[in-house]
Amino acid sequence: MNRASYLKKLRGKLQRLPAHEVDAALAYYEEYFDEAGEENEQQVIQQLGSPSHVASQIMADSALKDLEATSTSTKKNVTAIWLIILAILSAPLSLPLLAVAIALIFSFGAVIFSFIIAIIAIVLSIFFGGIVALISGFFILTQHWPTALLFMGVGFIVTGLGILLFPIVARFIKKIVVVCVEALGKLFHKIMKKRKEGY
Amino acid sequence: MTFQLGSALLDACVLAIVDKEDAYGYSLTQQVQSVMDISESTLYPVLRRLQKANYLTTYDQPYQGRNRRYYQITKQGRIRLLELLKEWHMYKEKVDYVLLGGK
Repeated sequence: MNRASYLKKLRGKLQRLPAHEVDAALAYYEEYFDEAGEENEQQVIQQLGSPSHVASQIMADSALKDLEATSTSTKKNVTAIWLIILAILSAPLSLPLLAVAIALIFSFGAVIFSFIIAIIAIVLSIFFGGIVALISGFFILTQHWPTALLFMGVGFIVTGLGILLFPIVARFIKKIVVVCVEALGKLFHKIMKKRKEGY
Repeated sequence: MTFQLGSALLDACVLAIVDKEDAYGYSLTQQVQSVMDISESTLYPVLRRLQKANYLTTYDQPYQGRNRRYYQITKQGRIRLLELLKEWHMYKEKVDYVLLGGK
């Protein structure tokens, strides 16, 4: 591999990042090669490690940085999760370690995902349960109005409770996503450290 | 090196080097490597992060027909460096106390 193909590969590995980030990284490594001198090209390539290794470090860091800067947008957080997962997957790992990493990520993701779905289901069922009570109140209004009033009252209370829960749950889910991203970032750094220690 | 290097210590080293004199990527890597065992590719994310945090700014200067990007410490960077130095001293004293058996 020579300098040109090395940098081209690096650009390819970074393509998930915003264009200006990719350009900045490439400019840095172009300069790095320049400074080291043409005669040391092969040595630099060896010292830097594979393009995947360089790219995974940049992506993980950029994902964590984005998260710190704007932890309010869920969309950004989800992108950050993907970036870290990509960083872990593109890191040159030994096969068993990679398998463990993938298994960990997927089980982690599955648990969190089902947890979030369960919470949403609970809130929705409270909300719709209230509406059903409200509607059934209307239906028995002509038969026995005190019972109808009771049903409608309960319906209103429960529906209101459901609506009140929406923003709380939304914030809670956002928080979970943020925690996930941080945990994934930590996992990434642990894996990279393990690798350095010679696994 | 046997002792692990955390990102805070790495930040402190980079800021301390740039505080003395503006430096470009390659020379920075060499200088950090002279005291710590880091891989060649470790420094770029660190520099980018410090830059995004407004601890560092960059400017380009022509050198032999191309541009060198110099990193310069900012006012916030100096403040951050002082914080890190303070923490380092506290940490160092505690570790010394245990390792060297107190004064």
